Amino acid sequence: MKSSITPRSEDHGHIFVIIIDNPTKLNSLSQQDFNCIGQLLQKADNDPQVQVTILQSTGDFFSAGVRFEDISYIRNDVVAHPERLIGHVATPNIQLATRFTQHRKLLVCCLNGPAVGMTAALVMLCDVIYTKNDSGYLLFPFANLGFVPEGGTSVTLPWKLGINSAYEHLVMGSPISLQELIDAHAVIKNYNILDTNMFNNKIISEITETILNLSPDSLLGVKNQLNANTENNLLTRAQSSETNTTLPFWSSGEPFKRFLQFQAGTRRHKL
Amino acid sequence: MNLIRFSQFYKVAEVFFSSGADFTSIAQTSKSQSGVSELKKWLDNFLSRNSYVTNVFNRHKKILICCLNGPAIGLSAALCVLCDIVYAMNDQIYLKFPFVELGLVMEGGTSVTLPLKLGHSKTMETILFNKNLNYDDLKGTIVTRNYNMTDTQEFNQRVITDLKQLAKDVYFPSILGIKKLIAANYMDNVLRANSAETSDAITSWVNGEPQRRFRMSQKKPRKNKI
Repeated sequence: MKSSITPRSEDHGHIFVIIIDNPTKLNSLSQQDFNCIGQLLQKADNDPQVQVTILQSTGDFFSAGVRFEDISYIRNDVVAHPERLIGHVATPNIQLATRFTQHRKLLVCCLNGPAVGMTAALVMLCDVIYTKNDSGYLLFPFANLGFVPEGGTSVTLPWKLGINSAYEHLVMGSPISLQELIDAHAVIKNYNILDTNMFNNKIISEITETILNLSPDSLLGVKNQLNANTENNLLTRAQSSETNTTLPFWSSGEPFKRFLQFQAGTRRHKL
Repeated sequence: MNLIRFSQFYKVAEVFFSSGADFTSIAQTSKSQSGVSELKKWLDNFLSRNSYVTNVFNRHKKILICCLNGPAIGLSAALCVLCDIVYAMNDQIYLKFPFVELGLVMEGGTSVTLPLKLGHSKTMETILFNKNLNYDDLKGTIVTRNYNMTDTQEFNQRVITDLKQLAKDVYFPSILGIKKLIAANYMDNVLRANSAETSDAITSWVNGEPQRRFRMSQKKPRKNKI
């Protein structure tokens, strides 16, 4: 299967862009796609030319999260090899989340539309979030799907939105609107643009212009200082606690059952 | 299976959520128990109760929802801030922490929960200058939803109806897991603060300054802008 993730280099290698490119499937991602994002992040991290890493998407949906077919694949795989469940659960929650939390370059997310589940968790792990227009929202339906917050969201949501809002949205499974993200200063700027390409290109050109006058070492230094804050330590701890808390949920089979019900349309989310 | 899915914390049919500690009971405690040392008196009547209730709120394993139907003051306001989700009946609600006015220090975990939920600067301004936290200050930080209602009973009932509706969609063990994961970020800090706060305040109660100020508040038309 063709990968939904493509990298691109901009501004003479100073900007590393990771693009989610499967708009016909609402940019939902397979396990391989998530792994690919992790590998590209590592590549950007190790490339001394790169100063800023940007996460972009295509079409009008940033990403619908994990692909249903992949959940079915994991379910079947686990029936035959129960021991593989740990790997399926731990890989995104520990390895991929770590790639984000330990990333040494500035991480920018261009949110062109809604993001759901694990991809929405990755959005919250970015340092700066820009939105295309007010069509963007984040949705974390963990409680509806029968497991617990993953991808660092037990830390990033309370940290960036406030504890009570985090409880509200994680417990009720309600979407986090653009207005709420702006009010909480989680989204820095809303561009009010209709076309995703125009939005993506505008941000690249703005960042190109901005970093022209900045010291690359200062950029790294600032990021390093902010990464030393308590929240990042909590995130490191959360990778273990989230994985260990969510594992029994997955092994109980409840998430597989609920994903199937959503796919079949017998269980609907309020959206 | 545990049938208590959410713990709700609300008062019925009053304009105030809670005006905090009862002045009369403080006055009675001050007078009574002659022969008992001041320290023992206030350990029994302040420290043990205060730290107990704070602790119970902080360690609660279920999602704690507060239906704020009106203003809350002092320890009651602190308990509201300890709740996971707060719904406001309307925009007339406010929280007030008159610690400085009453010769007290922060209590009910507020030395941790307020900076955590409102930010450092806002907390400092509110507490040190004895200001009210109005609906606009609480919106999006502590209060997550405004029901825009006027009748307390209807409001309380409506929240319960909404929660019952919600319970159909969510997997209950997930909610306990969410609570555990999020609370792990701050629970120990509140535990520590609870001990420090009550230990700091006991000196004031033994000296009698809060009692004098509570008495003044009771007698005089209150300067306090409630």
